[in-house]
Amino acid sequence: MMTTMTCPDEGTLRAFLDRADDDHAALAAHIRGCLDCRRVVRELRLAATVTSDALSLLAESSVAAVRAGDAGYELVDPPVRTRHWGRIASGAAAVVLTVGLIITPAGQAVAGGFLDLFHSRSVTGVTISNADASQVATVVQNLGVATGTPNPAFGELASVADAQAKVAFPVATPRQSDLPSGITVTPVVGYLAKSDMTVTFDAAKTAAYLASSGSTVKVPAGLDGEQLVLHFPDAVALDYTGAGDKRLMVVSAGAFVATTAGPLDLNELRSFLLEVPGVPTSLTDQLGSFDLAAGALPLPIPIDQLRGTRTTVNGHPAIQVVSSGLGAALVWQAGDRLTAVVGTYPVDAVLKVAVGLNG
Amino acid sequence: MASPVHQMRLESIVRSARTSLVALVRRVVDPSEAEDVVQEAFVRLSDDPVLDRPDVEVTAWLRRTTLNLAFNRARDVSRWRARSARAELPVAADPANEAVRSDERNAVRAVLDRLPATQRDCLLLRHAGYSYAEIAATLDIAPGSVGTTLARSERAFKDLYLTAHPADARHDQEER
Repeated sequence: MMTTMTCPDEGTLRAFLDRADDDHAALAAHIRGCLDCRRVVRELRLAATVTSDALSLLAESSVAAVRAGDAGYELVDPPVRTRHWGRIASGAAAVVLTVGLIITPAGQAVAGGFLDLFHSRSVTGVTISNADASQVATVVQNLGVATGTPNPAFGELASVADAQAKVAFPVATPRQSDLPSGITVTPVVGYLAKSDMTVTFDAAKTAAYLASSGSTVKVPAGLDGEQLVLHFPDAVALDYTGAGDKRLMVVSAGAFVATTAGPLDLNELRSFLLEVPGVPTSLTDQLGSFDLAAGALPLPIPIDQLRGTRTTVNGHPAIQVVSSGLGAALVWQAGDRLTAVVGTYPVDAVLKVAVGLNG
Repeated sequence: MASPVHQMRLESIVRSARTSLVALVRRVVDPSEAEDVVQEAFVRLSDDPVLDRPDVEVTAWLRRTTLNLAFNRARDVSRWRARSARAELPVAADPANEAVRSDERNAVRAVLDRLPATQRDCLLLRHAGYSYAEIAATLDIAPGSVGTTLARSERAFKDLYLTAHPADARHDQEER
């Protein structure tokens, strides 16, 4: 449909892409029918994507900074220490919190860090790409307001016993005899506290988004003010250091659960979210396959989508990721515990630790 | 000497702004430098008349100042490295991988540094998640012109970056 609106300038079109424009629905209607504007929007989107991809390389090093800043004014952050926990945060938290995390900028940085751990650019990667993650974030911003941030900060505890006292799941602990030779016997223990993030839906905002996307999906009655609460689990990371700066990490975490607080139940909310345009199919496939009879949605960790090899650890389906020259990782879920073993060792050494874990 | 009221205000601003500033600056300089850069900005703030202005102006001033200091620092560091044999020493636990990533980050920073300061800061702020209103306040431009500045900045960045990284140009091809 052609419209009579004068073509907006490129600044307005760029703001349109970020939904920072004044009249999104009218602009969307114009752009749908205007070949010139569609061409400009395509070019703007390309430049934004190239820039965003490149700048995401800078974001990874900012994750640990949040932690450093939180710790207070006097904190002098020695580079080695930052790196140490930064690595754990990027490796562990992203494995544990993937789906929920990616809808916040901090989460995207953490998830990006996890991918980097496996050097995704050259060897491996996951199908929840940065682009998909950004897309989810954009969609959420268009449906309501997200508050709360998944905790990106691992704090250090004195012992495994201290960590166990804080969590409900059995902390995955390797047998000493399974550890690679030459490695420290006592790990540095990291603990990530559980946290919540809440998405509060806004019916008017949602309606405008659906209209601008040309969607015929109806806003469900009761959506306005409805809240989706994502409960991020706590996690424990045991970090072992070997000769020649070798590293081995054993990470365990609890279940990741979503609940609603409002008139809609999870089933209704899910049915709606699955139809919202813009949600990547990588996510809808997972969301769609869950039995909600229990009243809470245990969000799947997309370990299937790690571009690795399927294997098993003590009978549990697992994903094995091997990066030549870097190391290997195994990730699996058993019951309510998600476990990852990541090391700069050959995969056999990592597997040996994995199969020997308790619980 | 600052008055007690000034001092309290300064401390309150430091508390509330520190974390986000450090996170922002770590996109520009190494982690070990970021805290120091932010600290320097706070020291400058303590003597600056902007401290009498409303919070929103003070935080905008802080972001602007911190980014400038960070890019100055990054330039100093790269000049020093260029003259120093230490640049060749691997410093990471997994040197090959970390060196590649570090090179990639430095390449992105180098392209940013070739842009006018307004464009450079606009991109950093936008991709660090700041709103259009916050970007406008920081860059001291009208809120209505953020879209235009952003569009120009991204185009300039893309052109420079793809010239420097022909491998990424396929991105360009696929989109067309």
